[in-house]
Amino acid sequence: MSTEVTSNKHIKINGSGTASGGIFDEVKINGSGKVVGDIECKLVKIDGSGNVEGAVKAHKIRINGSGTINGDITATDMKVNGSSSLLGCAIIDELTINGSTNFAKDIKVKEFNINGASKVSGRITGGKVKVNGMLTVKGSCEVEVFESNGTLEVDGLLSADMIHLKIGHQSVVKEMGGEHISVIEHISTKMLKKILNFLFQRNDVLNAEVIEGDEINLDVTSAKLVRGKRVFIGEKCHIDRVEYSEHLDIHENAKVRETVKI
Amino acid sequence: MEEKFISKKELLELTGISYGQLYRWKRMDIIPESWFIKRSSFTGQETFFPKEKIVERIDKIVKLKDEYSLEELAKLFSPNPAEIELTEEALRSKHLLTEETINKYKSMYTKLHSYSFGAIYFMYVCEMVSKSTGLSIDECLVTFTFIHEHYKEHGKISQELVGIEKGNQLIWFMVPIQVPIFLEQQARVLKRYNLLEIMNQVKMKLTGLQP
Repeated sequence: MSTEVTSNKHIKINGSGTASGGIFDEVKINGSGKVVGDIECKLVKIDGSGNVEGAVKAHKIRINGSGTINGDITATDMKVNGSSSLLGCAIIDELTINGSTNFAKDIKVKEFNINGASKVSGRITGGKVKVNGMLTVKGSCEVEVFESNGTLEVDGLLSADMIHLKIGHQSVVKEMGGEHISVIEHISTKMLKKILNFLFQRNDVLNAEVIEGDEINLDVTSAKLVRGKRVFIGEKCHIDRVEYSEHLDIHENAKVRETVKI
Repeated sequence: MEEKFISKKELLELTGISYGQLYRWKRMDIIPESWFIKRSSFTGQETFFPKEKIVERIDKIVKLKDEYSLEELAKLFSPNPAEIELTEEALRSKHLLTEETINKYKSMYTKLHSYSFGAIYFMYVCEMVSKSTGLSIDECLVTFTFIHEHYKEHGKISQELVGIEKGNQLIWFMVPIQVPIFLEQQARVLKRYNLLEIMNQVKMKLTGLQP
């Protein structure tokens, strides 16, 4: 149990020590220690279950384990390997999650990569989001490019210039809007999944209320309203109403209740 | 007077813009989120916009989008154009301030790459006071430096510029609006300027938009 302040610049907490915030070069927590107060530094590294009870303004943040940060985060490069709870708003250039994270508020990212699961209780705004696994967004997600493979839940609006969804498990997006939208099925090669799906007659689809875009390409989608310029409805789709202005293509097996040219 | 509304569908048809553009401009805050109004219609949930505002905004965006980047447009249209930064050329082309004002300001604050909204507003106030009191622009630029320095106070509470005269002395104060001022007998309030109104005037003239 020790807290070293090796220079004015470095703070290293081993074990369950406590340190107060401030401006440093590096802050490293190894264990369950905590920093009470705001930190401004080049690197924050938490190995273990450490906690920062304050805001973090850092160039680099690394969490290996289950570290938490209570305050707002501003960082250039943040990586979480493990599971983490981030309670404040976050503005991060490059954010990578390997494992699972819980963001309690809004996040603004240039690049957001998820391998695993992530939950954002606020909204996401930014550049590129790439999900391999699961993403849950309680608010809206408005970005430049959105790609996901796996499970997706967006309670608000999902909008991007380019949306590309690969549906592996039942997904729900309330509203989708953008320029190019494509939703395809993630064909699982896993035997167990195939068997379960067959036995329980499960169809992993994307459930949406409204999908609007210029170029829309859908499969495995169940929606109330699809509206676009050029619309392609695939085989495993269940759409109440399609409105199109330029082109419409519906697979013969798709279930579409009504189509309207506008 | 009831405001007219237009549906998203009709809007796209009317203006010729695409879904991609509409969603992108919403994302970049060039079209305020508050203008997207959800109403129930016979097809379910439909989005409506205040017709006059949205048509005018889209018209402006289409005209300006080749000249400005989306980020710049967002700043221009934001309810807080206090984020505007103009180059000297751009500022001069607005014809908001006289050549003299800009030149005198430049000589006071050298090494300027661009003019922030705060600086532009400051120059405008100085010009205004100079015109109405007869004080020279130089005097104003120097005297009212404190307004420039305490520009952030405007964000907290609306301010007023008050000039109080006693004999030949003229002292200037920046005080919150609607604070009653009680003076000694020999002094009187010479001038009073509502800085909030002036700030809005500058915003309007810079963006060419109604607030």
